[in-house]
Amino acid sequence: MESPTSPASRLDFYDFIGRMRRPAAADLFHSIRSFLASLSQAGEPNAEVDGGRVQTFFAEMETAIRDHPLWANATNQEIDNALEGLEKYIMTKLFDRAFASSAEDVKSDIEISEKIGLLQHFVRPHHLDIPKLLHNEAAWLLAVKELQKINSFKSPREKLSCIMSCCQVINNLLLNVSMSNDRTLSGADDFLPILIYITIKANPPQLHSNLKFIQLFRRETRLISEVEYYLTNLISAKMFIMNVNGHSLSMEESVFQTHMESARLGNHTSVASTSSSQGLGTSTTGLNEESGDTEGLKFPFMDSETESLTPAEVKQLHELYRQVVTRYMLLSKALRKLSVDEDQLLNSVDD
Amino acid sequence: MGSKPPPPPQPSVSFKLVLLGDGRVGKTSLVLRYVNDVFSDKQEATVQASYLTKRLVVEGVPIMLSIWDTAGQEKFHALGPIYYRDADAALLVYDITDNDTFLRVTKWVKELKQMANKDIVMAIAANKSDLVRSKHIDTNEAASYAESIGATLFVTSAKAGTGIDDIFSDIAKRLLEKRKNSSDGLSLAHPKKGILIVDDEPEKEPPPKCCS
Repeated sequence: MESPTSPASRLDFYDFIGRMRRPAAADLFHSIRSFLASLSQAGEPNAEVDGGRVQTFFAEMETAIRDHPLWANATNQEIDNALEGLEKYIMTKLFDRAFASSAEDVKSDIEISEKIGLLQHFVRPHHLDIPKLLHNEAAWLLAVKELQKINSFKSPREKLSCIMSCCQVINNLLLNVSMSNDRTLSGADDFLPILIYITIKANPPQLHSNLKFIQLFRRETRLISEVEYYLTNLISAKMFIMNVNGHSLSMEESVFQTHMESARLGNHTSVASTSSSQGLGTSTTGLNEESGDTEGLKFPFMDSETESLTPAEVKQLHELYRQVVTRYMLLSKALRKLSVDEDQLLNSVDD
Repeated sequence: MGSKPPPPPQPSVSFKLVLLGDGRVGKTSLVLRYVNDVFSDKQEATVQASYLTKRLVVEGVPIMLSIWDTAGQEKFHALGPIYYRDADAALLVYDITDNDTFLRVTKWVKELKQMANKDIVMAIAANKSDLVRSKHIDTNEAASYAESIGATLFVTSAKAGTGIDDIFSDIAKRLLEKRKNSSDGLSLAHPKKGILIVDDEPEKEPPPKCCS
């Protein structure tokens, strides 16, 4: 799959704009302008209704372009290029109206992003049944980055390309492992868990709105076969994340709830970065593994005088206390499971 | 449309087939064996196994099967409908040596009856028969179950390559029959998505270089 930023892709678009400026294209240009005007006068944005109208318009324009003198003797590929240019032009113009424009969409985006933010604290590859053989941080990071690019683009096709690139990185990993280990190529049993894990690590901005936007506004005739399959997998990953519970992560429900609770407390104190909006700035919180030398940041009150604390600081301190207690309880439990005596372990740590 | 070059003469009828089966029952091997069959007319290097396509000709009609693999582990079960909702066919695979995997198949069948396309074509693969030493493999129960739900049962082995072509051509034949009888007829390849033209297939990435 070609990259959305490839020279060929840009060329298509400039070629389309160039042709539209010619006097001979005045009729097409007029249709586009009046379509855009009619939509912007259609009142409150409704993505589903708009999606239907946009798809109808794409189909009408396809007929018009095929019959147009400017595209006389054009190959199917050239006509397709023009239609890709059209999609990009229309959807860039309509972007603010069509993308994440309802309160519900904004809410869903925040919910998913916050949930992923919590899952990032404790979900590890084995919770999703990813076989050891397929652990490859370098490849995963690459896939994460591809997915995080999704908000750098405004056209459905380019957004979709980010998803395809991410999936292709995963498929390359599966292919490499299969070839170097002389093992049957992995199918969906391995692909989907990795995609879910990548989605959690990436916390792609506005995941819900991006998926909805692609489904409604990508040219229908192009949202087929392989592309449709991989888009469906990301939709499926999103669904998994929305409904995640102990069972789906191979752990006791109570353990899952404890993890979520301590992740919540952790997020409160560590100035959680909220979901970034459309733009280049994407969240990378998922990539920073917990490091050991952050005590100063995590426990800022170790050297404070009790009398000098403000009420706000006392509140913060209380939250930290809760977090420390939750962690301690978890660690204790873990030690008991391993049959390690806590006091003995503490005594064995020499400073 | 008058002045345009005519479309390629043989547009193929395309169908979506979804693969359902418990984790590690061998559904991927099965479908890879089918798609990569050395005896097929046109062999392509397979660079992925989750989404595969296979072209075949049934009664003179070129057919294109899009094969959608699904994650079979129990924890992903609830995601099934996203994949099979608009599928034309479902191939359900179980491991002949593991009864639990057969029970999963019956669970999917119930769901498909409720949530999938009413006309969905179902076939059941009793897989891995090469592991069973005894000459007599008892698939009677499974076969009568298959019959009761309007599906067909085939004993398959990815390793030995048996039963695989049979099951897919059975599916393809039944798909074609249903499509012929439906109001769409054969002219419409897919109710919504339009015709998939064989020659217009987007280029797959180049095959991996071997032995370098």
